[in-house]
Amino acid sequence: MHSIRQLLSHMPHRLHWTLVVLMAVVIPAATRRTEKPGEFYPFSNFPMYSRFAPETYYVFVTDLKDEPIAVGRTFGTAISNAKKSYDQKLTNLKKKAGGKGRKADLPDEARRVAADEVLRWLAESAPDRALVRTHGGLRLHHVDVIFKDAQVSKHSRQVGEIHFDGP
Amino acid sequence: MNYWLALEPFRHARWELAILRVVLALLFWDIHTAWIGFWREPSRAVVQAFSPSLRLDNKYEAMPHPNGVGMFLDLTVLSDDKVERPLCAATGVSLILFVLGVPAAFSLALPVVFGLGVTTLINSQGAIGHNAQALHLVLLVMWLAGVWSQACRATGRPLPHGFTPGELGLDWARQALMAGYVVSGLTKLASTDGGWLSATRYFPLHVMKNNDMEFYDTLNPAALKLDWLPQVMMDHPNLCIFFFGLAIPLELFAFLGLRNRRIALLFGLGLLVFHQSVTELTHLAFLFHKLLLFFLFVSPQWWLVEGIKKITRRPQQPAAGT
Repeated sequence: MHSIRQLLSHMPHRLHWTLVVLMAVVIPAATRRTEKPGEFYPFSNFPMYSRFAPETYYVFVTDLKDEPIAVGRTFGTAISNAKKSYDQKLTNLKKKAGGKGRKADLPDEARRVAADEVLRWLAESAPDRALVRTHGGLRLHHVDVIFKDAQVSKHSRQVGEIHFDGP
Repeated sequence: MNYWLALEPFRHARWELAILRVVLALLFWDIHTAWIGFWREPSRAVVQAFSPSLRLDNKYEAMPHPNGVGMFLDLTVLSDDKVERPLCAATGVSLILFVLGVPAAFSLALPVVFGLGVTTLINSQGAIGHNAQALHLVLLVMWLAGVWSQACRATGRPLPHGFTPGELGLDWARQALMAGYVVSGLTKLASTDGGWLSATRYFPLHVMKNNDMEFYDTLNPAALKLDWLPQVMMDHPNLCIFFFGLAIPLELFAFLGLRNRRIALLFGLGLLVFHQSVTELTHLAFLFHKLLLFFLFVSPQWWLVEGIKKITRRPQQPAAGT
């Protein structure tokens, strides 16, 4: 015990290693049952790009005529946040359904619930809500990007739609 | 080898501490103003940074997916304008005091509490944003270093390596920044059972996804200028493996960059080049990471002054008559 303490006292950059253990081991263990294991802002185990799957997807937002809307300047948040939020809601719906199967296999009704929630959240947190309402409504589109036989293919479908009542 | 790995605590002259305090305060201020998004248009960036009417105005009235301290505290009060506006103004004043040399224990207390609170509220909406994570970690440990310095002063204990409080804050900032890289490297290996490198052949999919998302974020057709690249990368998967093969040791061994200014320069430049390459491919900016690496590790300000000192140092003249 004494030698371990001596070793630690001579170890350079102890704060660095404390943070490494905290973010790579302690927080992931303590948050394993939460929605975002490994995340306790500003601590993170930085899961971005830690896995590359042969399929992925993204989302985009349009008006009711399917004209794309610039998410960043319209809603004050990056489109990646809209996607992460939608993905989190799909994960929660999958858990509610028993946690079996893939998110990609969730029924369209479940996707609609998640997508509509995201659209409402975007509309309500927009810096200029009145401007957003001038569109009359919003649609969320889901695009699968799949790698197969050394080729990439994209498949797009509308997953959500909300309408604004009145001006 | 000792030249590169010798443990030489970083010393900062007053002028360098002053420069770094200004840089860090401006970065911390971005959390409430988003001025850095206009870095390509300096005049607009200045207006964005210093116009009270342009400050970020959070509208989150709920925390549907609480994260961090948001799991224990309701932070929605921070989006109430009656609370948000005065706290934002007070944060600006605190950061000015930090620049003027007021100890970090006092001047960074509010920026830590309010900055972390607001960002935790944003991250409790269902999406975790990682772009400011390193900056907040740096802010948090710099404040903790300030508190630690005050505690040492009160108990008459010296700071490690004979640091001044300002040097200790920057030392902890560097340690925290590099901890993020090491953890990121470990997570990549752990979540793929060591097979991360071979999975990078699917990276082109993510290039395509990010390019499309950038387009739908801004509707700027320039975002699609690299549309041809994913297919080239897929046709040559070893390119991806080679590219990421260089990056993973940079992340895993980033802690070596803490040992002295020379190897800090090496790791700082290496990680900067990697970030910039990923930015070119995916439109992910990593601006805070790049700026922190630039000023805390590459440290052009220090190398420039050292270079000038070396050039202007007169060679000793032999004494007359000898």
